[in-house]
Amino acid sequence: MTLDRFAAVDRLPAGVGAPTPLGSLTPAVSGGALMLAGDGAAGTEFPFGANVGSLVIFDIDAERTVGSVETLLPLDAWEQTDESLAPPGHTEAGSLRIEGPAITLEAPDAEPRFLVNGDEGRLLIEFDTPGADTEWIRLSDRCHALIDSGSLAGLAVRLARD
Amino acid sequence: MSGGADGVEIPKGDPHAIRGAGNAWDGLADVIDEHRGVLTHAAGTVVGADWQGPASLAYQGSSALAGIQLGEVGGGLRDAATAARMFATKLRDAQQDARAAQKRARAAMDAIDDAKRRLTDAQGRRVGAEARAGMAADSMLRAGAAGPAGEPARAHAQATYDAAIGDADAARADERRATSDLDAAEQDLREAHRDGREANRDADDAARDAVGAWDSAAGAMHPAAIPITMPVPVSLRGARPDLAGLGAGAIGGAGGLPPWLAGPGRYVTPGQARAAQLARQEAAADDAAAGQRPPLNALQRAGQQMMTAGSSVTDVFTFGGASKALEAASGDDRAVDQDSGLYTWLHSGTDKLSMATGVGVVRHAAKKGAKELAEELMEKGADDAAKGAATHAPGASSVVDRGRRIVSGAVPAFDKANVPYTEHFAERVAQRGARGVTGQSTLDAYNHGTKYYDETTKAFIRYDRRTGVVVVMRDGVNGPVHTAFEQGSPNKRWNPIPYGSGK
Repeated sequence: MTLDRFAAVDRLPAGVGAPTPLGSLTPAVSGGALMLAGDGAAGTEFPFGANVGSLVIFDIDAERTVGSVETLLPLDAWEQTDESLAPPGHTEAGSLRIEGPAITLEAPDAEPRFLVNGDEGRLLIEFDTPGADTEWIRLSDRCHALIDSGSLAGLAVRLARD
Repeated sequence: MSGGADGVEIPKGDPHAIRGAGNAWDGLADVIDEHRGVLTHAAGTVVGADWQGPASLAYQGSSALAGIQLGEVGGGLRDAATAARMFATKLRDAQQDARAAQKRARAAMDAIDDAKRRLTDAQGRRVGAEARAGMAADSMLRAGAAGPAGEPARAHAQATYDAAIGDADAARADERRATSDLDAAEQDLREAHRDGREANRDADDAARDAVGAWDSAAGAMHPAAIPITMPVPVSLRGARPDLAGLGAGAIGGAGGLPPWLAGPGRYVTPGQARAAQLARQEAAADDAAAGQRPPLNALQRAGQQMMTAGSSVTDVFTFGGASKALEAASGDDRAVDQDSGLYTWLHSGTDKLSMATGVGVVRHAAKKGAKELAEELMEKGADDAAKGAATHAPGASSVVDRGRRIVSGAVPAFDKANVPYTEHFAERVAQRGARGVTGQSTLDAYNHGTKYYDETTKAFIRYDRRTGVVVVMRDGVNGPVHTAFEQGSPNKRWNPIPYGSGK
């Protein structure tokens, strides 16, 4: 099957895969912005991608596992919040899978929020407001993916020291 | 649409002449390259083992910078030549398409006229035949009322009626054919007009691409400027010009005059020179009052001024001898980054005392936000360089953000084109090649893409509609390329940068 190069979606279709080194996303700073990258992502060519509002770029491997996430919003422009960004008590480990009918999925009109709670030392890229049914998937000890009704609702990151 | 009576406009322009202009630019680029070679050779022969010290360093730096800038001029001319040839080809194709559409429109208009004429004729024949049939029917009724005596007249009327009905049927058939032909011809005309509009759109797109390419090329074609010069003598002692009125460019900031022109010793008026001198003195006094390191000397300030966030690195990009000259003269990481020796960015805004370098070392004591949290994270694994840098400002945090490091050798297309790029960009290209984000496609986007500014991310964008490749610059639309990715169309949030606005 030949895939289209681009396909527009309202929300990124997301699923949960088994934990893998590449899918174990950990935060880093590059170019003044937050990057999430799995083990071995550097130098790996990712045949699939996703793009949320030209603000968050996903690099996805052939197995559809997200191995790298680039944010375009500089860290000093993130919105401060007093709301807790911490995950619920217990979360299942896994990897984030994004799969769709194109090489690059786009949510061009999405307006994700970039939230920081300095007291908690946590960040949240919110694609959809988390609800009671939102599933938190532990990608690494510093990063969770939020999935709601089969769509990616957010990425939560813990940055502060233990 | 505008155009002739056929409704198809032929795109304006002479592709042959435009192609000739491109060849002329190539010829000029050859001359520039030749002079660059002479300059480089001269620098190599003059500076040797017998001449060492600040003067030789400065000479090497000046020669290197002049050579680089000449190279940029030559590269810009070649880019302009390539853009001209591409535009000429596309314009020629669009004109050919438009002429074909014009020919088709004219044929369709002739067919419409013919169909209308035949339709009118058939309608006339049908109306006449129907009238004759009506009269014949009346005659048949009257003859029938006369009984057997009227039979010959009735038979004649019947024949007349039958003939008239036959004529009417034939006329209706001609009407249907003419109507069908008219519909088809009108459809042909609409399609010809559509083809004509598409040809004109192609020509417009080609023109826009060419404008973008020429604009980019013009951005690279700055006159050779050697910013390592001493301040001009100032004769307006006691005067205090209106700094704001002179514009930010006059005091080395963004806007107004381009930084390469507004650098030390390159003022348009003595008033601007005096204003810049006052600004430098005030800034130095602020630093001193804040208990920081001693004020920078003129050369240090020159390096710092070249490297402010408002300056395009294309304008002030220094390395090799020029960078070493600055570094040697300054001995201060405020002027030249000690790690990369390439690019220092004076961080301003909420924390005037902080300094974010291109590689970059961040020091501040601001309210904890995402950046500060990230610094804490990075500090956990910070390397020795970052830890050492942190000692400059006791109590402050630090982060080594190598994504801003200017690198070379990782993206050959950019190296060859002398377009600076960051380590972050090189990594993104390595990861996204299978999705069309390659060194060449990103260079094409840089050279020919439509320019935008994203207010949300404070980033400058160049977007290539043909390939869907986006390149992002943090420090100006002509600055080092920070990242690249792909998307199907420009984001609605991006604001187009008008043609000719430069940065």
